[in-house]
Amino acid sequence: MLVYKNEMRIGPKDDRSHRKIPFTLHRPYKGLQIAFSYTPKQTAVEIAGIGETAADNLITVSLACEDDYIGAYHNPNPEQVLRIAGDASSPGFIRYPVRAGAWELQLAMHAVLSEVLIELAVEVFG
Amino acid sequence: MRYVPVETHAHTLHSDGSFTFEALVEQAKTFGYAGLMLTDHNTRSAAEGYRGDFPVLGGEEWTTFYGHLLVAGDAGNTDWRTLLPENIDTVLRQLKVNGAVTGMAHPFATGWPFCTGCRWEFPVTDWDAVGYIEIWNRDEPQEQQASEDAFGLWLAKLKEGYRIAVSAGRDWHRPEKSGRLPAVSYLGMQDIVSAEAIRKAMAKGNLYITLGPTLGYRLQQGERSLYLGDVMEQAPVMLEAQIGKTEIEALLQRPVSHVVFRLLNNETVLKESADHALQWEGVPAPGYLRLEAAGEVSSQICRYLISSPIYVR
Repeated sequence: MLVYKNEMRIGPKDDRSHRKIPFTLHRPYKGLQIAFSYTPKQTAVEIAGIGETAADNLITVSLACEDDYIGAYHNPNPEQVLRIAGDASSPGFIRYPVRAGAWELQLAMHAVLSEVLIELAVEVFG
Repeated sequence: MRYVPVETHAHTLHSDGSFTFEALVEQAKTFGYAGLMLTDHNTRSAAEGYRGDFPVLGGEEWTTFYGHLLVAGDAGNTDWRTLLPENIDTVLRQLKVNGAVTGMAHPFATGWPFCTGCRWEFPVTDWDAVGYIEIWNRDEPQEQQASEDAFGLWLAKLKEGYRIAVSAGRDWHRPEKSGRLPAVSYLGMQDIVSAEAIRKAMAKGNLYITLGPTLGYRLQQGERSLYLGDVMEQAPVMLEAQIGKTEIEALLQRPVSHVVFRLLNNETVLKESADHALQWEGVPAPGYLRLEAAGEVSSQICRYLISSPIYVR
């Protein structure tokens, strides 16, 4: 079941900020899947004393359920599929039963150096 | 007290490293470390459920927009996303109360936009809460200006009266390029090496850093033996210290030609020796004592061993 799906257009004004995406699950599920991507990964920036050079946009996903921090995947891959479940989770996330309650995904905009398109979808299953 | 090599800054594929957790532990054993601090970016998932014999202190590298903070040894229930420039002192103090050891990672690395937060920008005012400064980061730190800058920051804060240890972190993400060697942190252990013993040594500042050679010392104040990180009274002390050969085979590839061994008290040299040993007896001034050794490494004269301080009330 799709819980959240959105395309976000962000830019340098969003650089070094967190975007909170809360959602509620009304019953437990076997697993949760986050499909996350952004483009472009690399862009050109003007640096004083260096001139124009290439640098990477970097956005990461972290996840919490109520007061429990479940993890983050701090990795430069701009296309990620992240799974959470009680018996196994993707690297970066602890094993965690997908329970009913208030969940929150956060996007950490570590570097947003150009206009960036983010695609994000959260699904639960089982 | 014996000092053992422990890697204090390491990553896996649970963040942006290429090691599995198991491969990291195997690499650490092979290199000759006695233990490891696991510090993936913003997660502790790699060591979840770990019950192995090799001591691993769980932690993470809080990879924030304004600095990278190494946090280990606590329950991990403080959320890195709450750390902001306006609450850095409060959060550092709270982490300490929670049993965490904390350290500034690579404070003078290149930062935004190439590596956001890699350069420390948090406006710390309570430097006692920092814990330690990773003055040597990655391989061949003696070649990096960032190491000198971090060393300068550490000395400046010691001179202001703060109590801060030093660390060397390999910031181990993957095998280094051939021929590139790390520095090593040696941590003081009372008996067996364990995750808790690593936590205690880091929390106390009972460690020294080296490009290879080891440090042995005996510091006595009356009947009391003193160790790095201890606080002592201003009273007569007797020190005997020696530099030994590296115990780590890989580090033999980077020969160190000894030049000088020093005991410093608030940066005043109390004793200097061209030998690998020194002795000193006297009453130090209030502040701190520390040991360092310099020598020729790859045709460059540099510090090759730096101890965390012992503090004098």
